[in-house]
Amino acid sequence: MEVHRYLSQSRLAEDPAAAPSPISENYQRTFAELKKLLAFDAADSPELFVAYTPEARVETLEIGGDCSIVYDQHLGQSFNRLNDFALADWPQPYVIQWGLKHLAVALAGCGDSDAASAALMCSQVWPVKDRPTVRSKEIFSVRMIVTAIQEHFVLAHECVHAAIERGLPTADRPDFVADIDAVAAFLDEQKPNPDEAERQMIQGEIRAVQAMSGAQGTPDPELEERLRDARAQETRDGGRAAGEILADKLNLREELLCDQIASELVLARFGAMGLDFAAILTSILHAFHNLTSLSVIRSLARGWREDGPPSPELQALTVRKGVWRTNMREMEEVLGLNQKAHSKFVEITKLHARTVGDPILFILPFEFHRIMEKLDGESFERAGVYEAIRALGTASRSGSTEG
Amino acid sequence: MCDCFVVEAGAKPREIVIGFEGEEPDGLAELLAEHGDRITIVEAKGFEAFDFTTQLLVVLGPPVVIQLGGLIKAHLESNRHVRIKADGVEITGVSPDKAVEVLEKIRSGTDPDA
Repeated sequence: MEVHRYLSQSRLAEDPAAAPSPISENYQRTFAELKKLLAFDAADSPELFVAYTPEARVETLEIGGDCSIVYDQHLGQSFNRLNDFALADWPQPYVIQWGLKHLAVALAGCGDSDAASAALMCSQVWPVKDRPTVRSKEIFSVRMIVTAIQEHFVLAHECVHAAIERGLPTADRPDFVADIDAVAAFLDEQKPNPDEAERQMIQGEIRAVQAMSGAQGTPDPELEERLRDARAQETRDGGRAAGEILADKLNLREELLCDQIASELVLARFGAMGLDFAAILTSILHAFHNLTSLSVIRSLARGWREDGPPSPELQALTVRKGVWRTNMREMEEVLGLNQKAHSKFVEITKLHARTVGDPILFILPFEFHRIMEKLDGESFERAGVYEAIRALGTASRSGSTEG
Repeated sequence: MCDCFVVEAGAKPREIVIGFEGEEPDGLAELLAEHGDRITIVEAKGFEAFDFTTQLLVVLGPPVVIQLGGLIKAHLESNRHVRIKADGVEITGVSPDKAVEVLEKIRSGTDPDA
């Protein structure tokens, strides 16, 4: 079957959708619910393939008139892990260890065997301590719900792509699409000037340096210099106007529409279970933050050897987050939340930045460059790295919640 | 590049996925008319895939390599990216003039960077 052949060549896994995991039935049930809500014609509805691949990537495929959605359990598992890092406030070295593992996968996907081997080896021996082994039942429950909402959101997003492709009325929102440029213009007006952007980046740096110094006991001037370089790069990358990015990436408009309708589907589903609307929306924003951290890692894998152009994926995510947050202000009014979601958005954004975002954005590149400088000229045993990457996490394949 | 491209004698024909940034590449209809049995069009959307919406799943063979290489060359020369993947590994740094050569090395199972 074409989907299997496509996945075998486009991902670091051999026929990743061939053997569904024991919990794939759960995703199939959710998928069936979503198809019903979007009013797919039974004879012309998409098929769901539940896969587990190192790339942790979800996509919608159209092959020969047939639509298939590939849901990657590893993405849900990654969300679960990142949610746990944030909600249980894990020590930073664990986040870096996790980041190195994902960096190894991304580097292997770029064909950079030596760097992938180094990142994988370092991930396996990275010094970690003070694991928060005991988490309260409350934190555990919150994390499970947050992850479930995020996985539902991703699956709903892909279903909306399929609904748009089929021209279903449930995904036809001409008013929303017509407003996108106005929202982008609003975002560009709100965008901090370069000085303000730089000030915010420096604050991020300082937080990261403080956390790092606290973890290792001594301040590191080399780290500070690296962080300043990273900040300069990020200021350049983040400086592009939303309107300009939208003009460049025509498909981005469809992504924005999928985000909007998927959010409404998630609100309906989890709201009916009695969950707080503000908490549901906050979990979706947290998913965007998690996606950004994954995207930062992929961007590092592509560009670590030289300063390349800003990552299109990261730029697109920045626009998606901005447009989504703007549209959710209107949603807040409709739901009568009275700014409750907005204050939760600020809280989760700060929490993610402190626990996950800053370490991945600032510390991971610094540590990785330091590793590669130390290993300069070393040659690695390449033969095992692809097998090791393919085996990553397969022991946990049975459940996304194991992280 | 990496060891995964070295295939054993008698192995099944090498498949690859090629993604074209932006609009459909020029000459695709002619390529399909001639080698449609070896090429499947995959339209992909998703969190990362949106830059390469038109993708081709190709069973490489000597005749298809030359024509496909020409298509890649033309797309690269028009300043649009092309992403070639085999076994999940991207072949980076393909220049317009080397497109046919790289495809031939993948087809024959030799290291594209060797």
